[in-house]
Amino acid sequence: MKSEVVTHSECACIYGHDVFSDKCLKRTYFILDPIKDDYKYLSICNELIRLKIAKEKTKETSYFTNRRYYEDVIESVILEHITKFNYSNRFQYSNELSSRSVTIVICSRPFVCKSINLLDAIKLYLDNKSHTLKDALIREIHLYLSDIQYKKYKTKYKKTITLLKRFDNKWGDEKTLALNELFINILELNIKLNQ
Amino acid sequence: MTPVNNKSLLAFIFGQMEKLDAKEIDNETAKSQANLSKQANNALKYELDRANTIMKLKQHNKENTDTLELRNVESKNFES
Repeated sequence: MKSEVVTHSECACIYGHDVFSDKCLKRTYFILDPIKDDYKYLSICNELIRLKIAKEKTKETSYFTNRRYYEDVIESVILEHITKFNYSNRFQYSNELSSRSVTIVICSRPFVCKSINLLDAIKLYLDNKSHTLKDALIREIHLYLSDIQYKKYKTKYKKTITLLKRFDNKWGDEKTLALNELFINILELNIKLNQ
Repeated sequence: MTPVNNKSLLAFIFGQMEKLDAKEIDNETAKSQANLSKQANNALKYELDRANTIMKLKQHNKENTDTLELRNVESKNFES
């Protein structure tokens, strides 16, 4: 796993004047780019964070705790350093597979978590072959299939779950073909459900 | 005839799922569409296997100075 150290280019130190100066103290966060599947350490000027939090506090937004200011500021900085995409904040739960979303933890401390629509996640996975997206997809499909209504059709359900479990053992183009097969099976399950 | 790749096939399957949920198509149509997508997926699988076999044959011919060939079934004329 490659993990490089990236420095955020803004600095607000009085005596440091530069983000690469010795006097500029930094805080480091371990972040994940879900689309490129890239882990990196992001270091941000401590003074910049403090000023950004102070600025955030002057706004007329109401938060329950002081911690939320900190989390929001860090989130806004982190989002500048990962691949741009229309991430949403909320996990969407629906009976329709296409309107569900997959959730990915971008930074564990402070907890920053973002959601991507399932269809978009599949498109991104096919383009970038990201392991993070793949794991999130598998988790989401497991959750979707755990609905009691699908368990009535034992044979088809078991076959779909087996395909899902075997998905990790396939490589390259076989993996994308297995994804097709998996969704065809889910479509057939839906057909059975509508009968 | 529309050319199919993995993305378009997945989009088609999702489209059918959505139509079925919205009752825009009946079960029989959805079933036949699922069968069609299965066949398309099998065709893609066949292409992949064929590419694998050709690669293996080339490797074999290179290593053993052999001239093994894959019989091209698709372009062969119909025999009476």
